[in-house]
Amino acid sequence: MRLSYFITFLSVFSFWYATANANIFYRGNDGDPETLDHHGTSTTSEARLMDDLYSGLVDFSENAKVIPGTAERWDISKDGLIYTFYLRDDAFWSNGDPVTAHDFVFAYRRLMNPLTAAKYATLLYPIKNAEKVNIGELDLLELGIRALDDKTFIIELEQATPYFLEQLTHQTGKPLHQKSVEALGDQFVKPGNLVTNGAYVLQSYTLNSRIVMTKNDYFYDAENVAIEELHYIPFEDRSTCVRAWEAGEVHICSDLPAQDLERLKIYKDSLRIVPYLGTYYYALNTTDEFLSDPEIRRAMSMVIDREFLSEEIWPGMIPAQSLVPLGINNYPLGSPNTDYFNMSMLDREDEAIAIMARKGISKDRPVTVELMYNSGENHKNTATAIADMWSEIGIKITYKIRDAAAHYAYLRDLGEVQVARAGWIGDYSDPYNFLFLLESDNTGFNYARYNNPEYDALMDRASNELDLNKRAEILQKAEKTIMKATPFLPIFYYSSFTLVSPEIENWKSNVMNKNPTRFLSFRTSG
Amino acid sequence: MTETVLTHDNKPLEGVVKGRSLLDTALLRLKRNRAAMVSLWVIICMTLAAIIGPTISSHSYDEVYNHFVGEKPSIGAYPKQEQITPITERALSRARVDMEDMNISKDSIKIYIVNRKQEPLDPRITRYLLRADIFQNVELEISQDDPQRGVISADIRPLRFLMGTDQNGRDLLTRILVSLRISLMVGALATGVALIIGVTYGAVSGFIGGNIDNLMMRFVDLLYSLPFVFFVILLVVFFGNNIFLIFIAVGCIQWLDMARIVRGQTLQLKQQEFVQASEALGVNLSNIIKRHIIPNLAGTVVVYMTLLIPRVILLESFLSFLGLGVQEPLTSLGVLIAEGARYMRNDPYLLIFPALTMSILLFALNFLGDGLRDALDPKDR
Amino acid sequence: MLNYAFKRILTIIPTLFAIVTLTFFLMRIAPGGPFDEERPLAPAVLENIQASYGLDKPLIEQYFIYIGNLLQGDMGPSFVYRDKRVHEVLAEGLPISITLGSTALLMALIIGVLLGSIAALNQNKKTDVFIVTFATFGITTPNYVIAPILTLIFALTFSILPATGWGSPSQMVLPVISLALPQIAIVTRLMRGSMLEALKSDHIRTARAYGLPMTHVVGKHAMRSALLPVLSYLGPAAAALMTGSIVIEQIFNLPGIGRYFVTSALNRDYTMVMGTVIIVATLVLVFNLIVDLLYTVLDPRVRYD
Repeated sequence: MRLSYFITFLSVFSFWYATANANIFYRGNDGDPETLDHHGTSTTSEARLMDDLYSGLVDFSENAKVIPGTAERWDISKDGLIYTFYLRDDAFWSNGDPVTAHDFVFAYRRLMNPLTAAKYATLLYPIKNAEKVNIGELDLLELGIRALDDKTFIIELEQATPYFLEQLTHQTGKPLHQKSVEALGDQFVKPGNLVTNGAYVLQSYTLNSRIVMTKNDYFYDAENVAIEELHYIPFEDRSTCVRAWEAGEVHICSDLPAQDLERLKIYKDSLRIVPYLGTYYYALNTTDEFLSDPEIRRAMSMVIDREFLSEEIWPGMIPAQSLVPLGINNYPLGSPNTDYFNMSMLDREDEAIAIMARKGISKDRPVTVELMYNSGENHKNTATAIADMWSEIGIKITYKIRDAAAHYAYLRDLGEVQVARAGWIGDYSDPYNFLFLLESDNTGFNYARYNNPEYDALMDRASNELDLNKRAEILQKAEKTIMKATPFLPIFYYSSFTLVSPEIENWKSNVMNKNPTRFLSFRTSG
Repeated sequence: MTETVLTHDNKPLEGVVKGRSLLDTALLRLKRNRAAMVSLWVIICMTLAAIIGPTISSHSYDEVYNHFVGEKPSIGAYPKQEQITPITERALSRARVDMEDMNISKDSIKIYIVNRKQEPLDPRITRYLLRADIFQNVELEISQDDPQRGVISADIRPLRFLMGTDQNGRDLLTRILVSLRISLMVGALATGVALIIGVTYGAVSGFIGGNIDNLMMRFVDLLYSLPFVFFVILLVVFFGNNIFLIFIAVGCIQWLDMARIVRGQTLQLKQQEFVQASEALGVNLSNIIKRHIIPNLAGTVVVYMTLLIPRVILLESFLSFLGLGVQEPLTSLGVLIAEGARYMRNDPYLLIFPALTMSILLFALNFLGDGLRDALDPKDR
Repeated sequence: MLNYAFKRILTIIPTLFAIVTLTFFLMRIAPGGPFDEERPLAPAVLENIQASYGLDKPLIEQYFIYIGNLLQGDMGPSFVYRDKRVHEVLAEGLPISITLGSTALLMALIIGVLLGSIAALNQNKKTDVFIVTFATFGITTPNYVIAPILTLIFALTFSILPATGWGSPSQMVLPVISLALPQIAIVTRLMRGSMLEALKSDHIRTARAYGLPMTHVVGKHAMRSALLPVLSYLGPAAAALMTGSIVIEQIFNLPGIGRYFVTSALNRDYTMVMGTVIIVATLVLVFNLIVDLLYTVLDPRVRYD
């Protein structure tokens, strides 16, 4: 009796409960953006917002392929150095102003201006003089871009870069409305001030609550944009997003907790697990006395049963056999084969034990190695399982656990690290974006402190090679070198995990994990 | 003790009739309290279980059973009848042999196999079955006339996971036992640190009063406002991960509340007749605090202590997150509960058993605390 | 008494100043900076960013700049929300945290005091055992367990309350309950203990011996001195409740400020750390002052000389 009173009481409450409006698309996101100024953004959750707000020279299609955006076509010079973009006549800003080549010139100069302090300026370093401008050695006007007229925009590159168009899909390549940015200063990002040229326009932004956008009627393809109103809802805790999705409060969850995947299979087609352009790896410090021996590093990689990890420890992740993930562009031959992945787990273990035995190390005479990882996600379970596998070959693991900031600061400053967890998600779909991590002069990223002149030479050769097939061959050779030397020990290829409401149509899961809202629609009943 | 002894009903006694000491009386009274005695035994049993449990358990707390990851709790032994076939098939497929036939009896198995490749069987493949956790005494008999065929016979090894296994395939019961070691220690020592500092500090501050009290309490406010996370991060960075740092980190924060409560009580107590009387009689400060203030605080302090212990145990899991505290493969009750909460919807037993252990511990502490309070209370004498 | 209150208010300023100064230098010793993330920044870019925030200046200079801005009511730019100043970020979330926290506090105070007193008056009877059991579970069960369970029951199974979000009264129910439950349990335990003490004290025994009605004795005399330890606990606890809880905010996706107390430290969002410290310090100082003044109201014998 009492319980039923209680429930009645609560039901009265629920009258006030704003029911989800049927015409609004509630899109869960991984968090709030650091800023709505795209020059300050860096994360994938920010990229989603920018893809809806802005249209670059080129954009992503519903399948995350490069398609014409604000530029309807372009010419590339024979030597691959000059790109000429012809802008659409019907490209307008959300206030009705036409989008001109000058807006792009303004945006690109601002991106490279050291005072802007753009986090991802490096991404457009292939542009001529970009790096020197960005570090303040050259004047902004020296940047290799110009507007030939209102609708023609020219980019000159430092050297031929076959993946340059892919790079332009990144939010750093998007334009800015020169007039409003100049007039309003850092206030230009506020709702009501922000002028955009994409499918949507910003209406309001409540911190940690929601970002509201409505359809931009001036967008050149507005007639094909089905969803009128869009609310981005930030979730810091992925389990919370899952509960909100199950309660019908959001249509999309952009990431899912590993422990829920098994249970979420009851939602069948709504659960999307697809390969994602990223690799989860352990970096082995090649300057460490013990780990400097490539044979030991190889044995450590050999003995890891990646199938077990991806079946039992982190379901949905894909066992990795290379640094460059599957499904990447400009890599027709794919990653090279590494011999031991063809061997049975037992043979691998035997060989690893034999290698270690030659160094005088065995299960009974183990060596202690420190493994550092950042707390969060499934890193702990993975580390625990790998430590168990390593114990078989005489490597005893002690842990150094850090919060993310301390972890990455340690890696960046090259502190005393032996084995460290890390991951890399591709900024654009090209193997170079993964292999450059191990270049010896790449101080910020080369956590293994790997230094191999031969490898560096291969990477240089690849950068100067215009023929995509020949380039792929060189890159494959480079990857083979590092798979043999094993400075990085790839464990998983990432997967993207998404929950998509059955009410939403045309959500095409893809390796870039990009799904611009302009291509989505509500399923019409009947 | 030749000076004037005050009993707690304010009558000065001349000479000393050496009665039972404070402690003796308290113990005697405690023994008469049944709930408290039962609780005491529960805590003793838990402590013993924590000390010897992991060693007498049939599993080691860090032993990984690859084929029993996230297995449900069960009184019966694993493998369940229906698990044997898939586990065997998986082991054989890794060995790259095919199964022609299989006989399973209650505690043993016979498998007829044939090599997939056109090669004789490798005797090493028995290791795949040994690796599968559930077999022992595995023997391979290669057929005399066809070296590609053979018979594997093995005993099935019964494994019991009374509370199931965790997400890495380790026995939960053993892990709970091992977690109690750390948690009881953290609970007792960190609370002890908080108790000693908090009670002394609070009693002194409240009793002296005035500007000194103001200064001492503002210092408490200051510590209360400092960002705890940074404090922990700094401890880890400069001193590494050390179990004693947990006691310091936790104790240093948790004494603040204790100090405030004790000080509030002291302010009230010091105006009471018997305290003022002893002040008038010229008893010195430390004796008044020792003989009058602290015994009269015992009730509140004990209650607050029973609140503090579970808080400390749960806080420890947050410290582990920041890299201070127990690290794998060891674990603590706080960590098990925090981890269990993540799996709550999928494998509720991972939360239920550690939480239950914690609740039992806390119930015992509560009743023991109540008993102690009654036993120590000078007003009941 | 007024004299004392005045003196205490005067000490708030120097105490706050000491806290700010200490925190400022303490947090800068920790390794890592606001821009250390999974994907490292190129060294040149990192330099640009640090320069734009003035992080390249000597620490002592940064300190004086910060204090200068603070005196003008500016808590500086946030590193994590670059479009806003720290005080803007905090001003957006603080009302939400205060609404939640004060509701939970009120619930904890009323229900806790009531349950604790009832338990004490019925010591060792069934009611007492029941209340103590409830309180024990309340204390052992952390927020991050209660909150999802409540959501599963009321939002996902019965669908009578929303699972997440902020704005309507119905969205307040589950967060407030989850926030209040452990506090109710703690207040109940404290109240029961101190009420038992109070009932044994001389003047209560005397009052009862004179045959005064029980409700009068409890309500007028015992309650007063029994509330003292509860208040001592609630001073800082109120400050903690008002500044929100990261666990509750994450589980119900609420835009409060509790998250910043943990995330700002983890992200090395220096200015935000300072902002949270200033807020919590102010609240602690104010609430403790109120509590100290309440002591004299509840027990007139308490004096500050």
